[in-house]
Amino acid sequence: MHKYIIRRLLQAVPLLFIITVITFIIINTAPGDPVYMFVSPDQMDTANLDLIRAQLGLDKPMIVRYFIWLGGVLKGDFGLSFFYRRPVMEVLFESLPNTIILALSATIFSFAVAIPAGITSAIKRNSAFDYASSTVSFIGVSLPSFWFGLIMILVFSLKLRWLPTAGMQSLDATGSFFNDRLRYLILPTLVLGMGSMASKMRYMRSAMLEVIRQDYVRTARAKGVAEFFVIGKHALRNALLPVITLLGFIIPSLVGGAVIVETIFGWPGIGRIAISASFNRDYPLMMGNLMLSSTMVIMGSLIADILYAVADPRIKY
Amino acid sequence: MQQQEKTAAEIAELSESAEYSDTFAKQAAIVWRRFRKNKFAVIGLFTLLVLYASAIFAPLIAPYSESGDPNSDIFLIDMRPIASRYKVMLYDDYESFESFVVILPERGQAYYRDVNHVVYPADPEFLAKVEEQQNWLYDEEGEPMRFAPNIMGRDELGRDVFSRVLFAGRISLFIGFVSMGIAIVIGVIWGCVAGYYGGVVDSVMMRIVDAIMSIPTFLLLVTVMSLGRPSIMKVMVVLGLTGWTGISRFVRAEFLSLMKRDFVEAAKCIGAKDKRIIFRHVLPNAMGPIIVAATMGVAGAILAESGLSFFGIGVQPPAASWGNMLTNAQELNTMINASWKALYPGLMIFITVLSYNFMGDGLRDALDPRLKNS
Repeated sequence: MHKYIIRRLLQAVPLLFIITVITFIIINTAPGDPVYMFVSPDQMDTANLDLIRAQLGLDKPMIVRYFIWLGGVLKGDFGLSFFYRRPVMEVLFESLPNTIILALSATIFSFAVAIPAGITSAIKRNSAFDYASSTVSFIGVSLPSFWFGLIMILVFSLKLRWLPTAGMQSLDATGSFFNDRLRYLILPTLVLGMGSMASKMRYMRSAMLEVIRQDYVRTARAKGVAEFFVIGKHALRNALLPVITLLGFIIPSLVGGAVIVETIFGWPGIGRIAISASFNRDYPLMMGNLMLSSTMVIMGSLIADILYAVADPRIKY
Repeated sequence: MQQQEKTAAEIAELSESAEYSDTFAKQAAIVWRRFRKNKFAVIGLFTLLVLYASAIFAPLIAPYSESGDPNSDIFLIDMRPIASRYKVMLYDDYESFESFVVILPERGQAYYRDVNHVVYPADPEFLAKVEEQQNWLYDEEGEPMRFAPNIMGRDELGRDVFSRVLFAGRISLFIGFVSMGIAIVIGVIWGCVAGYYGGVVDSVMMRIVDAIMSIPTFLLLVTVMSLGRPSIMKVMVVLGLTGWTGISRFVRAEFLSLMKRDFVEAAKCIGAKDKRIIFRHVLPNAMGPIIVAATMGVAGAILAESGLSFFGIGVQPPAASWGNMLTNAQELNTMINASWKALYPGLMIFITVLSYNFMGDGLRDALDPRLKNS
């Protein structure tokens, strides 16, 4: 087991290295120059531009810059954000918890709906519920999240006035702090979790269908186990196994989706920072953000693999 | 009797499956028959045909031009949807020093709007006062202009939303198609090479795919698109360059399993060249999953394009795309006062993507019955 984990961790290293190369090339070969973000138009002469370029460390050739950056990263230093003038990781770790809260509640929402719904439609195959849930899952995968978000705001915030439009908490929070936060969390969770909920529902359904066909389920039925326990104990446990893998798959879609959802709902997480960093040409912050997100994705699939290996004794590692 | 008929149908089905059908026409007929059984897939296909037709014939269908009419649009900003032809009069109230725009539909209730676009129903008394001034919006011939219905309302520049939705469809649907084409070409070549040659080539190429797949796609897209000047061309290329990884992965997997099969072995034995084995023997067998992935991929590309355009880093105005039509709709007061601007373009994206997904699902069942799990 230890060997397996260490091997997987070591495999992640070249992966991260390739990601640094790809993202660094993309960001640094793009046309345009971040220097212009720091000069007011009336001071725009070559001397000033060169000075700022040197201050930002942009005067050296790209390869040199890459290795300077990589050297820093290995020491845990991702450089200074051009825009905030603060260490990149400080900026990111400030808003990371907000993203994690949102992603976590979206995950809980999607699993809490998808697993029971998927199981039910597998058991009652071709029933009205089955068709309804498969239609819902098609709709969920196809909804553009930015539009779905706008419609949710329009309906629940502006027309019905049930929920706040944007932000994370009231400025004048009265009553329970937790309840206040919860009201702000509902819509973003719904919008962010919708896509993964829909895809997991189908996945859960087919996993359950697969398991129900197995011999041990038939055996359980044959020896007279109550149907509730056949499904709940014999089938469900095995059907849930592949769902663990989904935990790994869900992270890229959550991190990518967070960019959209956080921007629409004014949620102060790393997704919104990603957008503003891109618009500000904040190279170090963009690099840091991409690296952090990719690392989360890689770690997610690593943890999912390990959990799978722990949960399923048939897996040899 | 009935029993016999059923058996005959089953035999027909059996004989059609796999090996018995060798010509392309026969196979296509079988695929179509299986596809037709899936009602949702057929609805999806039909919807897409309608959408593409309306995009191609947009200039013929659209009641207004894409860029609007600068002479009249300014009076009709954010006008609510209207289903009938109408004429427009301007009215200056000399007592309150206010100006109003009066909308006179050929069917239905006339109403007027003040400078803040607040709508009031027009009573006969008011209409009589308006009639006195006779200040119509005129067309080139000097006649009072008859406006075509704005079934989806007008936007913040007074342009007809329905016409813009049609023209935007041209761009959005086209981008989805082209970028998926690029992704397919790269993905198939990458997967072929990795799967065919195996070994070190395979592991290096697949590590690169793993790395790209580890970067959350939309984050990568935002990063790439926000640098440099966005253009339609760039959107297509970037979506193509980021969308190929999934395809390359399963083309490779398909190759690895097909390469072990006897017919490839046999082809190698009689001295077939690499190129011939790849294009003649292996790739045709991998065609089904590629078509399915491409169908779903177009849906993904349309979603991604509209997301980027929504953030202002995709298709740039004045060109309309379903995504950038929503950009201005996200301000809260426009959403309350002119919700049609937020509703319809997004609805079009949703319908398109849903149709592609329905169709992809049907194609999967039709092209590869082994995958069918229900």
